[in-house]
Amino acid sequence: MKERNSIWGAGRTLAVLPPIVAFFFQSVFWSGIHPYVWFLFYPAVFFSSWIGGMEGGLIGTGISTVIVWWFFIPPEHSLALKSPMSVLSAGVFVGMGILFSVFHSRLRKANERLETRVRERTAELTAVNASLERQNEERSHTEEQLLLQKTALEAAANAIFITDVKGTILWANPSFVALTGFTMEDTIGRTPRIAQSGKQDKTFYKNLWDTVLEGRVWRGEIVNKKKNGDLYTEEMTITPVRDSNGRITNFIAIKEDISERKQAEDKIRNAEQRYKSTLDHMLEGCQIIGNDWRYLYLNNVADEHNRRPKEELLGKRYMDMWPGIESTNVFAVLRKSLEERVAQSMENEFTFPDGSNGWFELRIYPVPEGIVILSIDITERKQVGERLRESEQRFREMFDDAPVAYHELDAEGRFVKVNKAELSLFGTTAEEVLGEYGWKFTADEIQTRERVLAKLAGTMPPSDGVERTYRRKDGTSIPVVIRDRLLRDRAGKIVGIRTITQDIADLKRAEREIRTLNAELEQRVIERTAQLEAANKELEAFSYSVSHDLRAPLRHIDGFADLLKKQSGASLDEKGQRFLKTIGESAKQMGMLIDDLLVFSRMGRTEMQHETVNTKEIVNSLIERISHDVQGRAIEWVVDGLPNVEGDASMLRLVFQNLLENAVKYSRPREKARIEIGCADKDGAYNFFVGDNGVGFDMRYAHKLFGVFQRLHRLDEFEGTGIGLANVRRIIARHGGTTWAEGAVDKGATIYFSIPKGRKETV
Amino acid sequence: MTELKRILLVEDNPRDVELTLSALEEHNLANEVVVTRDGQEALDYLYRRAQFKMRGAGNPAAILLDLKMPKVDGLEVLRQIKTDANLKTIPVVMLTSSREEKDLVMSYNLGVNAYVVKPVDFSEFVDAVKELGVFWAIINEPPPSSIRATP
Repeated sequence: MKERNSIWGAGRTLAVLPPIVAFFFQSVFWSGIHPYVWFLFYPAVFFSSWIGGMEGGLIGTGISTVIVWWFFIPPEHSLALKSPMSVLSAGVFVGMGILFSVFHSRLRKANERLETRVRERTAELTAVNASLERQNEERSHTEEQLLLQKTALEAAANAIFITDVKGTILWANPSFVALTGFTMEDTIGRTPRIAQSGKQDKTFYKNLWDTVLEGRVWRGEIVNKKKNGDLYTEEMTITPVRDSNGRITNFIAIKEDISERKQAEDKIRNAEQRYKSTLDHMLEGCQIIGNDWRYLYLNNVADEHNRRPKEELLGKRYMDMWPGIESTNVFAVLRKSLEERVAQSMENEFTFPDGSNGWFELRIYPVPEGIVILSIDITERKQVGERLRESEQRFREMFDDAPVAYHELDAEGRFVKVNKAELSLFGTTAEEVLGEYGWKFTADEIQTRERVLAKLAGTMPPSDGVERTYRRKDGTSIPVVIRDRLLRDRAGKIVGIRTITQDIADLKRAEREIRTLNAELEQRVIERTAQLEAANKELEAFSYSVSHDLRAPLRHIDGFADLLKKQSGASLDEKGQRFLKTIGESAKQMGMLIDDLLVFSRMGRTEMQHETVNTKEIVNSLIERISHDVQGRAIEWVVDGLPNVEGDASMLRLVFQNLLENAVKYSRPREKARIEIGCADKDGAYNFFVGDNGVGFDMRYAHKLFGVFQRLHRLDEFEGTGIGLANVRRIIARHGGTTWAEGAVDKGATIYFSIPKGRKETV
Repeated sequence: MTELKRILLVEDNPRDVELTLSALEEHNLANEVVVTRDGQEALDYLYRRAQFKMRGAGNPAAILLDLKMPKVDGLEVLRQIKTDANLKTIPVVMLTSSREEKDLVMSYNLGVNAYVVKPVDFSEFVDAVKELGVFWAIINEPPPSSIRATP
C-alpha cells in the first residue's frame, strides 16, 4: 500500500497542472475563446480529477475557479461578480468539477478494487499452479509406485484376486492361475465360486460374506477345488476396499495354498498323536518327570499304578506329591538317573498312602526333558509266585498224605517219588524204593517191565483203571487198580510216568458179595415170577370155572324150579309158588352177578386194542338199541360234540353202555327222562359226561359209586349188580383217564370220565 | 308132519341133558335127538364104534356140543370132526355155559358153525334150545350124508 500512497501523492500534485495549462492556452487564445470563460477549464478539471481523483479534481476545480474568476470574468483581475450569468456559469463549473471529482474518485476506487481482485486471483492462480505442479510431480511418483506395487502383486507367490462388491473377479495375479489352474479367461468376470469344493457349508460362506460386507477383514482356512478337480487347503484373507465415501467397492483376496503345510502339520500332529497314543496305550505305566522334578506326562496305566489321576499330579513336584519319598531307595535311583543321566531299573515295593502295597518293576531312562519312568505292576506276579510256592507246598503235602498210593517213575522207569500210602501199601520204605525200577515190586515182574517201558516209549497208552496184582515186601499179593499219567517236558517228550495205585482188595470182596447177592436176587425173581405166573393161571382157571361150572348149577336150579312149577304148579299153594319164583329169581340174580364179575375180571386182564374209536357212533347205536328195549318210555336224548378218541372200541362201548343203561334205569320214575351225553376238550383230555334227570344220589356216598358190588339203591328199587361203574372206572383207568360223579338226591346224576389225548395205557 | 332130522347132543351133565331135552320136548323136537354123555362117546357114535357099532350109517344133521366134558372135551371133539373128511360137513353148534373169549376164539378157529351160551334163566334157555332145535332139525338143509328120520 505504500506504493499506492506514493502514486496517490503524485496524482494530487499533478492535478494542479491541467488548470495551469488551460490558463496558459486561454490566455493565449483568449480572443478566440472569448466570452466562453469556462470552456477550456472543463477539460482541465476533468483531467485533474482523472489524475488526482477526488482530491485532485477538487484541487483542480478550486484552482480553475480562482483563475477564471480572477483573470477572465469581467471585471478582470477582481473577484467581483457583475452579472448573474457569471455566478451561474461559475456554479455550473464548480458543480461539474465536483461531479468529475466524484466520478473519477469512484472510477478510481472501482479500478483499485478490480486491481486488488486481479492481484488476488493472480496470486491464487499462481498458488494453484504451484500446487498443480506439485501434484503432477506427486502423481508421477504415485504412478511409479503403483506400477511397482502391481509388479509386486503380479510377482507375489500368494494368489491374489480382486473382486467388485458382488464378488465378480476383476483382476487376478499369475499365482492365482498357478495355484488354481484356472486361466485368466476362466477367472476374470467370474466369481470365486468356480473353485468351490463343497467342503464348506452354506453357513461358512454366509459368515464369510457377512464379515466382509460389514467391512471387516475375513481370514480363514478353506478347502477349494482346482480346475483339474484336486482339492487343496488354502489360507485366505479377504480385505474389503472402501472408496472415499466409505462405500465398499472391492474385495481383495489373498490366498495361500497351505495343503502342504497342512499335510506337514498333520504329519507332525499324527506323529505326536501316535507317540502319545502309544504312550497312552502302553501296557506299562509311563511317566515323564522334568528336570525340576515336576510331572510332565502320565499315561493311563501310570494312573492305575499311582492310584491317582494324572490331573492331580501334572505340573506338581514329585516329592510334594509323595511325602516321605525322598528317604526311599526309589527316589535315590530316580535322582541318580536324573542327575547322572543314566538308565536304571529296579523292582520296588511301593507303599501307597492308604497303607496297601504294590510291587512294580521300574525302568528309568534319562531324556532331554528329564526322566522317563516305565512301570510294570508285578504285584500279581509276586503274589502268584507266592501262591505257587504255597500251592507246591500243599501239593507236596497232599502227595505225601493222600490215602491213595502215588509214585513217579523217571524216563528209565526208576522211582523218583513215592508217597507214604504207597510205601505202606507195599510194606516198604522210601530208601528201599527210590532209585529202584518200578517193576521190582510187582507179581509179574517181566511183563510189568515191558509195559512200563512201552508206556515210557509212547508205544502203549497209559493205563487208566487197569487191574493188576502187586506183590508186597512180605510176599503176599494185593489186587490194585492203576491209573497212569505220562509226564512230558515242554517239548512234549515223555520224561516219566506218574501212577495212582489203589488197593482194591476191599472192592474185590464187595464185588464178589454183590455178585452173589445179585445171583440170589435173580433166582428169587425167577421164583417169584413163576409164583405169579402160577397165581395168574389159577386165577384164569378160577374165572373159567366160575364161568362154566358155577353157571351150570344155577341154570339147573332155575330150570328145575321152572319145571317143578310147570309140573306141579297147580298143586302148590300161593306160598309154595312164591318160593319157586324166589328160587328162580335168586338163581338169575346170581347168574347176572357172575356174568358181570367175569366181565369186570376180563376188563382187567384182556389186552387193550389201540384204535380210533368213534364215540358218537357207539353212543348212537346204543341209544337205538336201548330205545328199542324201553319202548313206551319218554326219553329225550341230547347228544353233542362226541369226538373220536384213541382207545379200545369194545371197552369204550361197554363204558357207554353201562352209563346209558344206568341213566335210563335211574330216570325211570320221571315222566319224561332227559339224558345228555357230551364231551368237553379240557387240559389235553376229553372229558365225557352222561347226565340224567333221574333219582340222583347223595354226594356223601359219591366215593362208593365206582366200587365193586357197591350200590346206592336197594335191589327192589333198581335192579343191578353193582359192577357197572366199577367196570367203567377200570376201563377208563386203563385208558389213562379218571372217573367222577356229580349228583344230588332227586336232582339227577352226571357221571364224568376223561380220556387223555396222548395215548397211554395203565394197567 | 314136518320131517325131523337127527340131532346129536353131546352133554356130560345129566341135568343139562334133562333140561335140554325137556326144552326140546316142549316143542316136540326131542324124538330124533341122540344123546352121548361125553366126547369119547360122541366120537364113538360118529365113527360107529363100541356101543354104536351096530347103528345105521349116516351122520347127524347137526351136533349140539358141550365144551367142558370129562375125557375128551368139546374142543377136541370139534377138532376131530372138522379134520375128518367125512364128518367135517356136519354143522356143529357149541352149546355151553362158557362165555370165555378164548373158548369162543378157539371154537371158531376150529370151524364151529354156531356158538350159543346157555342162559341161566330157564325160560331163556328154553327159547334158545327151541330155536336151535327148530333151526337145525327143521329149517336147515343138512349135508347129503345126513340121516333122515324114518317117518
